Amino acid sequence: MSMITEYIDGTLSPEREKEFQQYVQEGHIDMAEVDEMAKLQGIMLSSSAPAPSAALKENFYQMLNEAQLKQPQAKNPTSLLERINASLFGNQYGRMAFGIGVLIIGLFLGSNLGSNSYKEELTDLNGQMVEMREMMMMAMLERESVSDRLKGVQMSSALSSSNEKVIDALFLTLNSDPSTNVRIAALNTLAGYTSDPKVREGLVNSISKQKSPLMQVNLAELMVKLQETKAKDELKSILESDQTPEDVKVTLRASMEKII
Amino acid sequence: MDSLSDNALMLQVKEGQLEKLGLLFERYNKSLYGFFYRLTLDREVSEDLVQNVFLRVMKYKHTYKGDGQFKTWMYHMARNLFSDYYRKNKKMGYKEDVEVTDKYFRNESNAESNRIQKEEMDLLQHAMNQLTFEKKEVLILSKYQEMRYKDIADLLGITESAVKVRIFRALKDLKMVYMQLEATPSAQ
Repeated sequence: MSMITEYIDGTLSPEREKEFQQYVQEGHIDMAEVDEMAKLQGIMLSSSAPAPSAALKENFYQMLNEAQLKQPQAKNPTSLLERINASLFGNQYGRMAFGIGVLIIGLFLGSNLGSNSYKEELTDLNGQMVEMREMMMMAMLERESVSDRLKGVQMSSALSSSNEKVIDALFLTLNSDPSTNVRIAALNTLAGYTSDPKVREGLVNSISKQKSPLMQVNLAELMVKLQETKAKDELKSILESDQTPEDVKVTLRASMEKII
Repeated sequence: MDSLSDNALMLQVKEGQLEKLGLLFERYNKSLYGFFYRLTLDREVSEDLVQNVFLRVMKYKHTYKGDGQFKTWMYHMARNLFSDYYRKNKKMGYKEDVEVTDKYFRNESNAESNRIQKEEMDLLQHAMNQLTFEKKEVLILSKYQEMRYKDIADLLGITESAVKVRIFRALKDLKMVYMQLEATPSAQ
């Protein structure tokens, strides 16, 4: 019976072919039936594959991003300094406690030394707090540990989008951080500031700097969302590169078609 | 062409480079979707099942040894997920999905030949639905997914010649149901 499957597939060896013909002549195999079966197989083989909707891809990458952020990072602080650092900035409570500590010291100093009005001091302190957070964010972004840098990116999303220093730091991370996770986090944060033309321009320029297929695909999808026509040239250069995997090219081509 | 094999990519995913799963998704999402769609004829369910396959790949990445084919390992999960779904729903009824069937023919130029082709496909789909799951599955894997007999044998845990026999029986049944349906057009 497997012989009939091979006959329909056209993979019978010459010997088995002889045997097959013999069965046909002896009436064990009904050729009319075999032909009908071959015809049905032909219809099946020629049918086009059903295509999934765009939501499938979107949901998958969302799931992947969430999984990446949840992924525990191997961390093993060794030196005393690192341990102090980790306990102070390593978790949210540590950072919060540090911030509150600074605020209380500030308020205490302010109430003792201040001759200006209370409100002025608060505004001043507020400004200092923002500055301090910025500094902390920049310091975090330069750490060796991936999870620290991720936290740095997360901190930046709480800071004002109009702050050029923050945006510049995020772009530096987006274009040069060695970890894809951190670059994706930076991309997600920057994606929230796309009303700023400078941010859009920076994102377009970043396309050609990305070597990771995941980043290329993510950026291309963002460009589709933004309908950023300037991105087409950048995407084209990736498409023409020999180093780009074929799968990524297919996705990029689809994205380019969606940008009007 | 792609520089990394499925196997190498999956081993990197296992080591924690989750972003590499994106490349495997790009390679296989359409074929997995096709597999589920032919079985369920439900687009939404099929997309959910594809997503669940990749969730499972991620969850069980530590069990991947890299000694067999990644594709076979992945289809094992796909089959398990489908049997879970099937057990819960206990039905695989025929549900016409106009939008999808139309898509098959949108690019063809000849209207008459399209109509005939569509009728043939519809009839075939009806006939497929009347096969037992075992026969339907082996036809989907070999004729629609165009999987090699050797890989199907690995996946189903039977020999290659047993796969060929199963395909013969499935095609034979399919032919019988198809011809019955053809003779009674009202059954469509």
